[in-house]
Amino acid sequence: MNGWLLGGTTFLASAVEMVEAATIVLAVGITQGWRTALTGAAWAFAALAVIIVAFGPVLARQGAITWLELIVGPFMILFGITWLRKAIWRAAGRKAMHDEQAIFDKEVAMLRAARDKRVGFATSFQGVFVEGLEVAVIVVTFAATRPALLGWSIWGAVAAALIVIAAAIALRAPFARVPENAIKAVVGVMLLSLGTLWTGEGLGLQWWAGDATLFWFVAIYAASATLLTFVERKPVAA
Amino acid sequence: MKVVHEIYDFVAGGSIAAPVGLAIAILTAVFAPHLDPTVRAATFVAIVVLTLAAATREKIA
Repeated sequence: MNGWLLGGTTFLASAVEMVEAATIVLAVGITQGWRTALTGAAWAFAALAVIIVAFGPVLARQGAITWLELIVGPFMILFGITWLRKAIWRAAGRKAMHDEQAIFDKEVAMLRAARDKRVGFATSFQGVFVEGLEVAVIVVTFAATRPALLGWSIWGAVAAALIVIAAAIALRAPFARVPENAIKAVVGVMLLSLGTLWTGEGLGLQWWAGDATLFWFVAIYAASATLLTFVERKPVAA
Repeated sequence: MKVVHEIYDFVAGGSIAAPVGLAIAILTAVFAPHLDPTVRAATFVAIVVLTLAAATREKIA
């Protein structure tokens, strides 16, 4: 298994979640000051780091063992299906696209009405923690199945978080043009593919090309998602 | 009960088809050891694909 593959998956998952977190941190920063916004975000990152540090190395020390793959794999499949079906719904027009500008405007209005700095701190903390929790779970589960590559998945997630938050602060505007849905679809396909590989290994299935079967899965699920997007597409009114 | 619902929502995104389909895929792989290994693996993947399709066809919560 290639470290770039796991690191790339956590990078993209973290990037897309941090785009959403950055919108909230930005709203707090503009309305209640950067100190409040960044303190809330820093505490959230610390809480996420505790989760990763507490569980990641413990699971990594177990080695990639069958029963762990059998627990982690199905979780990855369910996560993958959740990410992918939302991306399909949005691409097909069944669900509204994630509008960062609208979310930003709503948060700013709420924070201006609240004025209390504690609300700003809590909003910033919650925004980063909730969005980052799924990424932390993904990093920890990667550690359980591919212990040697724990560093890759941690650095993938951390790099994306730092880049996105720094860019949001520098630009002072929400990322309205980031192709969030396309990134979510890619992450969904990757989680589903890795989950299939690991669950199968846990069940004792013999993949026809070993670890390289992962690329077959990526192709199969990407093609399925494309087909489902066409099937789900709403008919255009005449 | 609310905590269970929150966890279920976090893991399965509120889908019923996804956990049910996944359970079918796993049980099929476990209880079909007599199948040719490649057919067994391909069946597992096919059921996961069908699960994705079923989850996508679900009503949006």
